Amino acid sequence: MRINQLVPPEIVKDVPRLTLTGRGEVVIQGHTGLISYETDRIRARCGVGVISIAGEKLTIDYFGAEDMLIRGRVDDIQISGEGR
Amino acid sequence: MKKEGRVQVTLSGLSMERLMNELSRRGVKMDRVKRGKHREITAVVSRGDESVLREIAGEKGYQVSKAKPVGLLRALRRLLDRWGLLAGAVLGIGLVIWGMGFVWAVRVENAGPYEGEVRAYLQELGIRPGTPRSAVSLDRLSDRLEWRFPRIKWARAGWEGVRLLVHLDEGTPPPGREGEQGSGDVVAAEDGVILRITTFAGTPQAKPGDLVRAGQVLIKGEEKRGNDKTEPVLAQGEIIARVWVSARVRMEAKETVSWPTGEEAVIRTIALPFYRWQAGEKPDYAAYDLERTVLPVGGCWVPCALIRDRYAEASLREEPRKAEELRREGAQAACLALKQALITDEIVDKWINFSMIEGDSILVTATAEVHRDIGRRLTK
Repeated sequence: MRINQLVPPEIVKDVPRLTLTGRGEVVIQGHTGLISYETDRIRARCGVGVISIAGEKLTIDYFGAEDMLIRGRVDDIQISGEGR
Repeated sequence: MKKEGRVQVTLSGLSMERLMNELSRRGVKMDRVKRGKHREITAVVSRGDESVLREIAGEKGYQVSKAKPVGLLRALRRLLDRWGLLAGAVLGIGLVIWGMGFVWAVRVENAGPYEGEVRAYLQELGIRPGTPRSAVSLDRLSDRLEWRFPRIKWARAGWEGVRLLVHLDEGTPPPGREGEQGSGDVVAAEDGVILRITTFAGTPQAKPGDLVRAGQVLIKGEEKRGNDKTEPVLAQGEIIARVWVSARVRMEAKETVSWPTGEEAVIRTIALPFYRWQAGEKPDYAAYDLERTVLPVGGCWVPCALIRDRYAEASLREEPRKAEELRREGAQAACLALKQALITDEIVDKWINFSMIEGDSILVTATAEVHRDIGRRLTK
């Protein structure tokens, strides 16, 4: 099957996309579920592993089936483990 | 029917993350999710999703609080809870609008001795506090007042909010009747060319475009009454004319310049507040240039200064000034003099003339054209 080069890879290969704006906003597109939500750490599952966002006063401004928007003070972003 | 608006709910139970995943899988979108206590989150969802949320939460064993409207819906809900306030505000506004459709007061201005009669006449016409505004025609009222009171020259009716204002001006005899000063003409105070002439009393003797001289009668202090009779009056009017004003400045075409001869002497002096000691005598040059240097020593606690005077003998001679510089300075001086003479007038046009007089000076004349009233009354 030939992959259309114009289509964003995260749609074809089902990989997540993280967008960090400054230190106050993170958008995660393509998550597969929330693992834990605390005000100092949010962990979500995705195609490549587990995304862990650490910080202070973290809130989920939007939570959808595949996307979420996190706001607060972001101190650390880690991706660990294998895919889902 | 799709429900509009958004509501805030509080969810509590074990593993809130699992509930959030399930809700998102079932298509419920959540905003402003905040972690409250350990097993509690608050979230904002649409009213349409609220029922789905409650159903899922009920299935999984989670508690959901009563929904609170957010945004505009919340404000609206609060307003509807206080329906009495809303009704009162609407009623109050309605009463004010209805009340503004009536005359609340009548004010008569500048009527002098006619005020009582005017008020009585207004009552006759049915215009009083409580009369609907729609029953009052301002133009017609003004006309009727002028007709009813012949000595009133001008009547104006208008609204000041909910108050009817009637302003009157009594007819006055034509200005210029022979008064305390007697009859009089308006004459020209200076030469000029008339631009426009407005006569308030008297008979004009000039017209626009005429060249007039100072003292010339512009408005004669008499008016015709009937076919043959003339009546003396105090002439009044405004006569705007083109007037030319000049200012002259004389500038010397030569200046005295000193040239050093080469001879010089230096005198040093120590100066104290009450005593001076000078080393050397001042030279007796006929003309000299002096350069003085003062060096304070000792600061403010010891007021002592060292003064160094350098006398350079100079010979003086007259030299002609540069023409360009002379003209420029002369023009500036003449313009300044002109400006001071025309403080309140607006200059329409301006030009400068230069002329040499007697070989050693130049005369600079700045001339400006202004438009101003040149009429002056001359009483007989």
